Amino acid sequence: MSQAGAHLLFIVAAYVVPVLLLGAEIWQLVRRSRRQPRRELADEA
Amino acid sequence: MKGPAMDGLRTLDPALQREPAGAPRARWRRLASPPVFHHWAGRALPWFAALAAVLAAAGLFVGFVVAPTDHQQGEVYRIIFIHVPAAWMSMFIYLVAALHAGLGLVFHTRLSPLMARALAPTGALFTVIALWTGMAWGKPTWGTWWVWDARLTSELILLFLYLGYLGLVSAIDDPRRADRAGAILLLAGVVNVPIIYFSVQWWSTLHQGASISFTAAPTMARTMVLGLLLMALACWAYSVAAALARVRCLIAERDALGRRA
Repeated sequence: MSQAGAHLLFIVAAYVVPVLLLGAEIWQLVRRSRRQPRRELADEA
Repeated sequence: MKGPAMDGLRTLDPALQREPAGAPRARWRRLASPPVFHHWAGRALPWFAALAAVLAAAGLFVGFVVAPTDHQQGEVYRIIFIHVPAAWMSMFIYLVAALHAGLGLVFHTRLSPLMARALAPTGALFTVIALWTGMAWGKPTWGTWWVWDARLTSELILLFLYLGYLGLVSAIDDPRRADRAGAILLLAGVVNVPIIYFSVQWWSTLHQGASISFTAAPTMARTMVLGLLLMALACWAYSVAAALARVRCLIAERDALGRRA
């Protein structure tokens, strides 16, 4: 593999992992907030 | 927030009942009151999330399209557009979480420990991202994934501090005891942050010096600095949005726990 190809691979690896991790955090936060009991009073305010 | 809704919150939150509604201190107390903050966070959250998306798109465009190729490292240097902001956020979030934990410990504010708990998972995530992207950059430039260099080791210790804090607060059933124990751990770990930041000056490290200095002109192209700053702001806005979303969950969960008790 050429050096440019290897560098591209490292760049992709460097960016894919953060995207997956942040995506997992967002998914977990959305799921957790949907499970919450509604705070009627605070939401009305 | 005025009128009957605020009266409702004043009834819900005993801290608000003790002071007249118009006093400046009461205004701060009102914002720091979990029910009020829950409402405020719900309104601010979509704005921070949208800001993070726009800034990230702009930062990646500048970083990958506008910024020139580095004459020494080639294209692989573009990893810094995620690595450096993630490293900055890992330290910044730790300091903010420790500040909140300290406020909770000293002033017994109810929101502060929840903010510390809300910030820690995102801080840990950015620490993992900083370590991973550093490894992905280190292999093609240094020829190795990892060295036990002062900067890398102290950043790894930061990850252990985050994980230790998260493990500790989830291991103790009583939320107040868990908050206190967690706060002590977070505050003790603050000493590691200046060690991370100044490690490249204090010791002879393989890791390069600071990417951007407040006291010296940038040594990289302006478009590189712009991409870096845009991505840093995107990470900051994302962290705020994630912390607001998580603190809303924590407020509701603790409220439900209080009702059951």
